[in-house]
Amino acid sequence: MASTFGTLNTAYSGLAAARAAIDVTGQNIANVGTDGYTRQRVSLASVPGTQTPALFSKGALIGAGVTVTGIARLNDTVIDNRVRTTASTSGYWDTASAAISTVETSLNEPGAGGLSSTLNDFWAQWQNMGNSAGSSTAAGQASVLIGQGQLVASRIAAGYAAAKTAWSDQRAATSDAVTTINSTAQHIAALNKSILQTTTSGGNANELMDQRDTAITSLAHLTGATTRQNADGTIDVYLGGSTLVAENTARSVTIAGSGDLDGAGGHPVHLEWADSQSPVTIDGGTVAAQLATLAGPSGGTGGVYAETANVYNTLATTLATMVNSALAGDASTPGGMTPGKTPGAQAPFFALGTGPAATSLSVVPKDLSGIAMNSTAGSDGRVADTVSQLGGASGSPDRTWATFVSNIGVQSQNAAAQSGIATSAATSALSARTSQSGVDLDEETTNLVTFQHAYQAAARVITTIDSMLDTLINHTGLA
Amino acid sequence: MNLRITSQQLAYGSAGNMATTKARLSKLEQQAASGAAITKPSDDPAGTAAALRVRAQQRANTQYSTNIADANSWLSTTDSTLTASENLVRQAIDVTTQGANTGALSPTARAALATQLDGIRADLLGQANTKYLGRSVFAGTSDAANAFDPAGTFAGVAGGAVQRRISGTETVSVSADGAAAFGSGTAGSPSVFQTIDAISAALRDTTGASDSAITAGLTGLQGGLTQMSAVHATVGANYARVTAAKTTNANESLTLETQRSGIEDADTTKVLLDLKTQEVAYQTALQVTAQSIQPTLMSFLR
Repeated sequence: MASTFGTLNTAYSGLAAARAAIDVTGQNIANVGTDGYTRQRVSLASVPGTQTPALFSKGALIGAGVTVTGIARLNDTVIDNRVRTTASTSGYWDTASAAISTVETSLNEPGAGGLSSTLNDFWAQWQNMGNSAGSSTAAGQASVLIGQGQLVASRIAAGYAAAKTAWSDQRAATSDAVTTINSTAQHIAALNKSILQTTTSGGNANELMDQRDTAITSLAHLTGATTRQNADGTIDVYLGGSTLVAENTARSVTIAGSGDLDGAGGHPVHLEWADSQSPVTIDGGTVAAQLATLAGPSGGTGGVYAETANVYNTLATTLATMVNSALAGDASTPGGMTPGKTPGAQAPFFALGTGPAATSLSVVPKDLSGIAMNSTAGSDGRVADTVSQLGGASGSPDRTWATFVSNIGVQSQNAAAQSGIATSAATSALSARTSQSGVDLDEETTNLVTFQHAYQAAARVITTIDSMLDTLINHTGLA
Repeated sequence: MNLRITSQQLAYGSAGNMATTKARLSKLEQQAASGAAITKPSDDPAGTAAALRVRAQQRANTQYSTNIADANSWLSTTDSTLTASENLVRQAIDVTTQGANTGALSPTARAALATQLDGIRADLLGQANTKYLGRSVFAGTSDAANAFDPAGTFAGVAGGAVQRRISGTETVSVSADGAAAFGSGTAGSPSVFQTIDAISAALRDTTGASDSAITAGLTGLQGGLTQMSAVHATVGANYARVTAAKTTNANESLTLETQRSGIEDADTTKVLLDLKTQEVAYQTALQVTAQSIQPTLMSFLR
């Protein structure tokens, strides 16, 4: 049997346990909207009776109440890992899709604002030039043709410049991401340290673990980082198999490689370990997609910006070569021509300067006198007609452009579809996580009521004991 | 099986569903407002390639229509010039026929006929040097200021055809060969102007020694008229081709626009129907969310 006052103590342990449970419930309810918060439960254990008078003593041994053994953090490591993996994949495709989509939108195709429409107008102006050869409208038409040629050149140059700017913006964004990677790694290392200190001294580090999980998920979203849980409760983080965070120390990475689009092929942008200068393998996440879009040209499968810039260069070169050789090829009777006629190979329409073809393309003639358009002495306008038909020829800039536009469309469609799939996987993982670890208000309310009643009942036990003791002490044996 | 549904999960799920429905709604609204099914290449990459091709054909077709209009003007100028020239040659033949009655005419009358012929020659030279937008229509590909010099010699390029492209595969010659129509004026092939000069000179020759030249000139003028009519027939044939091409071009333009619209434009009826459906879906999502987010056990405990 317990002592006279033993039951009071038992009831008190019930009061304390109920209060602890209500505290934890309060914490859960307070964090119902907190991102990354994992619900907690107070772990209770009943306390067995302590008296063991003799080995074979009889009599029921009544327990001595309840004790709080800890505060459990109700997460599921498998689901947490799934959240990280899917965050990495969706980070990759979101970024890749956004990059291609930016390029795609800048094309303005199909429509009147696109390069194809400018090229069509250019070829048409050559027919007008041929029509007006030798007539009084020739000089005016020559200005129109030259203007249209300059428009084509400037559209190509603008497209190239846009690709180059987008590349630089993306590189800056990658640089920012690297800063975030380093600060997040340090944050995780610091949390590892705090968690270890707290748990070693028997404390509750649940909230710190929530913070660490959130930090790891954002790191996985950025880089596809993987983790390993250590026996002491700390978590190591790996980037492409190499350690980024080992317990309470973090390494840092730096961005290296070309600073502008033109050098992207020769010096690809990549990440390096700050300590060893060896390259970092990035398996997934936003940064992997950023690095992929920053890659140099590689036969149509390289980085999207470099490939776009490459297409503009090809367009400029093809345009200049095709138009100029058509002009030179048909000039059957060079020499002795009056101005504006058929000087032949000496009268190219386009010139390419130094540097990237797309930015150095320029129109040579200043007025009618520089434009070759006739195949014989006089004004037959045949050469102009030949040039005007180049747009439909195989290997023409128009064909190159149409193929490119269609390719970008396919790539963008694929990336958007992949991004959709990845997002839905990420959403599903997140939903599983909120299902497992999220706070359910109904449940908390139920717990609240339960523990409130537990508290009230424990208090009632004390009242009952009090009244019993009152009977025993104040009323027993008195006359 | 995890049947635990938390408040946060409900909120995330509802927000996700509403965002998806809203995205679909926005896409349809964009299609309905712009009327375009393809606003960017990824909407339909194959369709975009086709649209670019059709747009290029449309632009080319528009240009052919401009070319056809130009060819039409050029040929109608040539046509009316040739009609006027034939009339002038016929007048010259009439005058020469009168002058061929050598016995019945006084020298004064013959001189008057010669003067009349000189006038006709001047008119005819004017016709032969007709210009369209600053170019001699009978000079072929030549840049010569006039197809015939004052002496009546052809200064252009004989047989040099100025062409206009009336379709992707067809060109039509818009210039008439001045040397064929009026004669080149070189040795052995006198131009109509030189023939008239010869007749005029013979009429003024009061000695009668050149009277045979008048008859020869008459034959020459008749031959010239035949040649001119032959060239006129060629111009007429080209004119007919251009007229036919105009109809073809207009039909082609319609066909291409139909094709472009078929590729690029949204099916309005379908888009509007889908839009209505999505609107209902969105409103339902809002309503359902409003109903499911609100109540918790808290609302029922007092």
